[in-house]
Amino acid sequence: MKLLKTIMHASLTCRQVEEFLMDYLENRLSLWTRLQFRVHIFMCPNCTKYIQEYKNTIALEKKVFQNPDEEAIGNVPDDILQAIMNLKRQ
Amino acid sequence: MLEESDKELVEGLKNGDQASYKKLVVTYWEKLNCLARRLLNDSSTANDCVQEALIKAINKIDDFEGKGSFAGWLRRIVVNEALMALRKKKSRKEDSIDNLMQEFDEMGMYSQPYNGHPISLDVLQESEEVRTQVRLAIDKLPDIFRITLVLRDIEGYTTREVAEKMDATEQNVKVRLHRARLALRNILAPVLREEAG
Repeated sequence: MKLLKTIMHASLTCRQVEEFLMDYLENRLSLWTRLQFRVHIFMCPNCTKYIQEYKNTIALEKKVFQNPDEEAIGNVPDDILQAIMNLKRQ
Repeated sequence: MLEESDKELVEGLKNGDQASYKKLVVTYWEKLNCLARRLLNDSSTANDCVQEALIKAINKIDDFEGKGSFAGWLRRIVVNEALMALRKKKSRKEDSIDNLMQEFDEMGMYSQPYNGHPISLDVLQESEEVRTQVRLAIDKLPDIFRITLVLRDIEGYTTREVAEKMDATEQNVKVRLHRARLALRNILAPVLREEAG
């Protein structure tokens, strides 16, 4: 109990959780900071949800460009196609 | 291992065959243009960048040894061209990202309570509207943060490779990537959650 109280007292703030989040997800925190981090998210529903959204954001941005059709790039402009077709290699 | 169609294309380019030039442009224009737009956030500059990259690819085709994929080789040329174009750009988008960061109170806690629940990733990924919002959100990031995010998360460059490309330290790249992801999350917050009923 005394140990738990000590850990809770030494827990991180939400700002620190945000700061350490990437290192936490990549397993790069020291054992003590990792423990502090976990205690904080156990006690803080805001951070728990925030972390879920952060993970979702990364997954979304990694996948979102997999389908170029949705970006409506359009055909190659004629002038560019012609310029390249007429290119003489240097 | 080089795909058969690319092998033929590379041979044609090495021989100065015009039909191969056309095939190169038609085959790769769309994908390369998507990449350039992501990096440059401007369709006209992206067109110029891809044109330059394709010309460079044709002129340097003898340097392509066929060890990696041809598409990967072309993408690296586009990345280099895009970074060069950004360095030349006179009015760069403000590099500060502070206005897109989460706000905390004086105790370091969230200044506003989180209402609602995160929507599941499966549901988010199915939504075309969400995908559009993610693209728009990436466009809102300042140049150095957007480029870091695109190269690391989307193009799969390592931290060291991004640092070399951007003349930055690896630590800088890590910080920029984290801040870019946080900013993106904050911009997207309204579409990532269900408000509590």
